[in-house]
Amino acid sequence: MPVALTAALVPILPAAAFVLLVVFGRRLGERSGWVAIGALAGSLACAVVLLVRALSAEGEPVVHATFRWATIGRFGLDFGVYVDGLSASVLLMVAIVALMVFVYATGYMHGDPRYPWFFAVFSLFTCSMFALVTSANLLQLMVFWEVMGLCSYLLIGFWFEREEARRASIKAFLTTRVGDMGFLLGVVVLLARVGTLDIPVLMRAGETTARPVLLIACLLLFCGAVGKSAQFPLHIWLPDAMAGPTPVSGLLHSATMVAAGVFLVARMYPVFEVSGALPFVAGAGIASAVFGASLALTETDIKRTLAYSTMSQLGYMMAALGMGGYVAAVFHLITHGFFKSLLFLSAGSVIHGSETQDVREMGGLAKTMKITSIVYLVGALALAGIPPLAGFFSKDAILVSMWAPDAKVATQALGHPLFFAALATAMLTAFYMFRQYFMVFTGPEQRHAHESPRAMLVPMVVLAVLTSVAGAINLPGLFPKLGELLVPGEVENALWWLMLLSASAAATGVYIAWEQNRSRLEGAHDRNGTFGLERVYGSVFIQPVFAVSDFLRRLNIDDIVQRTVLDPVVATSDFLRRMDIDVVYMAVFVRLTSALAEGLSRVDVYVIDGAVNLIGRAGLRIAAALRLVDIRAIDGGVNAVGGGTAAIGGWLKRLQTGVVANYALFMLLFGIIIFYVAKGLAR
Amino acid sequence: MGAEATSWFLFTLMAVVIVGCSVAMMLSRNFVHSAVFLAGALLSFAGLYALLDATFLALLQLFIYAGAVTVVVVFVVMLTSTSVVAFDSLLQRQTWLALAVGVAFAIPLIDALRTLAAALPLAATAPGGTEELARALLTTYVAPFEISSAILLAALVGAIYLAREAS
Amino acid sequence: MVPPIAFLILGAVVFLLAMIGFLTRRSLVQALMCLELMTSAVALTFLALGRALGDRSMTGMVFATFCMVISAAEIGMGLALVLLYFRKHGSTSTDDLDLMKG
Repeated sequence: MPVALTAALVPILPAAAFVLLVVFGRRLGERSGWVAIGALAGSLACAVVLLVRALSAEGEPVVHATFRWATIGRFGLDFGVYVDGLSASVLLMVAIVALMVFVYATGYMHGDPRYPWFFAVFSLFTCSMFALVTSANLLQLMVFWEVMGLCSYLLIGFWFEREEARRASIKAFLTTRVGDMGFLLGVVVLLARVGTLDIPVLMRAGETTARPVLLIACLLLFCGAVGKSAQFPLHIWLPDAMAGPTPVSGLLHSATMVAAGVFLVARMYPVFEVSGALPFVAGAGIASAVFGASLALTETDIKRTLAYSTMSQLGYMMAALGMGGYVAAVFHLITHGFFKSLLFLSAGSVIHGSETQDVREMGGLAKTMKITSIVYLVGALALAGIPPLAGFFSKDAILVSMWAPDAKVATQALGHPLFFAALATAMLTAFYMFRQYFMVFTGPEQRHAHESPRAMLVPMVVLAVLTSVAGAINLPGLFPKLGELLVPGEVENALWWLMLLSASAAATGVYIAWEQNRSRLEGAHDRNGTFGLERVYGSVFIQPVFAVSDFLRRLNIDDIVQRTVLDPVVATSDFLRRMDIDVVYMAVFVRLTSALAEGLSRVDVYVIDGAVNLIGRAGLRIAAALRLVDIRAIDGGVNAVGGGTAAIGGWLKRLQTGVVANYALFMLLFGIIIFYVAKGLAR
Repeated sequence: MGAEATSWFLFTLMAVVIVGCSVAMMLSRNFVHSAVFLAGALLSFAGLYALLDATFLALLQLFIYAGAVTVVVVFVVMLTSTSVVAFDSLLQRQTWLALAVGVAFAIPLIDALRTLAAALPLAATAPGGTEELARALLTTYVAPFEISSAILLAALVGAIYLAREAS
Repeated sequence: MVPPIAFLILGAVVFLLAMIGFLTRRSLVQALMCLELMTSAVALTFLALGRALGDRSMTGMVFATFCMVISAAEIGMGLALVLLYFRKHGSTSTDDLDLMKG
């Protein structure tokens, strides 16, 4: 099979599944899940082939095939596939995670009345992510970017009977649209000034195009990435998006949709590099990383905590990209895809088993949900950055890129503050994850729970295994496979002291969480506890951190963004709706007409009436004379005409049926008659 | 296959699709199916425009009709929730008269086509592409162009005004 | 290349078909769909004639563009009216549109 076909098949297979499920979904019932899974397995196989090719391609693109489907003036619109190391590795990650989530969803959505529709949209969503990653063209990428936005709207609002789901889906759609405006403008700028949207050509745009133009274009493109990847200040849709079914969160908010923003920056990385937009990317990234982690500290909804952590981790990736840590960011994108989907799926399993989303109502679930608790622990350890799990290595790579930033894009003076902020965030991450873990799985049992079915557990276990070993794809110094794949010939240094530092930061976070949990449990059982170590920790570490998190919450940035960005959009549409057209018409037309009429009536009274009266008097005389003639001759004639008219009218009346369709017929009929008459006259 | 044969093949294919879809659209009892057939016919129209070297119009047709219009039609069909025709007969009472009007229209059309067939060149190339179209729209035809945008705006506002729920 | 007359014939055929459909369908939505076909056929005719006459001022294409604009406006208004009518009378049949009876 030609390799271009292999690359094209990756998105085509789920698209075919989508069509199949839309047409035959109702007949297939719950078998439709397996249709989608079969298509996805095919995509996965193709993705594996592509990655194998990419590994031996030594930095050259594996596939670059396009065809031109339209030419508008000077611009050609191309459609095609472009696969290099970056797209091959992201493609494989997305395929694996999507497959696992699909299998999980067969268990989770079991019994849902719209089961086939769910898998249809889910397939289309995966298809658009695949197509986005393999795009050879920025316009094509944007098209699938938007298709994905549409699917996210449908999936988040899948249970549209619920008010909050409806609202969340609209919010997600509108908020990302704000960023997409920037994306669109960026594409236009590139098309106008570079003259093409071909990605491989654009990547070399730095050689031909002025830097300020590229800076503007990159910042605009980055707006789109900010919206899609839920970066500050357009993050507000992400926590609410948890109203969708859990498999949706597990796919959209770990490996696919939110990853698309990071992927866009990574895809256009050479352009970002020369344009000088990267410091902005780094700034927005680190702000989201710290901010997201702080918000997660005091969140009590299990899925919303994970949502904030997604925002924070994506901020990490953006910050790494901004500091020149291209490989580190892609590495973290891949490992994050694995462990965050694992966490979401396990959280779904917890919600499925305990029927609540509030961690305060859970507790002691480790006894009844053994497997879930173990895989959740694996995910939490990976997210916290504890060795030897995947998250540790990728987070470490990011920290390295900040400590020693790429001299081309940033200075150490910029890198070091970022490094310490990221290190602090790593500690906070470990803390909130384990605060949650302890609250959910340890302590006294609060409600009866049951373990989830096998269809849900198997994917979780597979993802847990992948989470444990995925770090091995890029061991610094020993086995830098991913680095070689993405940037051949570049050697990355391992900083051993930094590994130790980041691991101990994570361990500290876990320890604080443990202490806090113990004091919480003791507080629940024994109010007059002794003055102990945990209290010291409590006052030194936890209280300030909580104070900050609380402060942020009270500041309510979500609300500010909502008010400044979203509300005007809604208000405009509201204004248009309320703009009472009646009133406008009343003011403009009716007033004007009546004024005109009044003026005319004055003319009427003074001028015309006078004249009429004059004529009338004269007329009276003449009339008297003519009266005799009238009675005899004319009345007879008039009566005859009147009678005839009435007879014709009576006959024509039957044509006025009142049925609009008849009128249409008559209109056409008389139209053609007039045509014949006109033709006859012209002759 | 040469360019000549290819263009004939494409033309025949799309002509068959258009006529078939039009007839199927009118005969279908399920409005959603009708909308799908309509989309098929309109898509083929887009193909014909492309065959006539009017790429921009083909794209417009693709986006506006095959995309937007069909979606709107489906929406309305769903909103009016009468996806399957419940009438005992699809046809109206005026069917025979309608056929007569059709014939009355057909006669001068055939006449005109016969005249044209003799007068028109057998092969012709498009006088210009998208750029020429844009220039024409913004110079010679700028007034109708602006008026048509006003019409669209009026239709937009009017449609929203009519279709909104009575508050 | 396919001669322009072929496009003109096809346009005429579709126009007639759609017109007969427009006059005979009982459903308002289907009638509107037929209108769409009619305008598309007209646009095709404009395009083919513009091409056959080698018209440098692009009149054929311009008029086809206006055809599209008008029919987009028409379908939008038409469907809004269908919706409104359905809300008021619970039907989308042309037979029920008989309030204009004198």
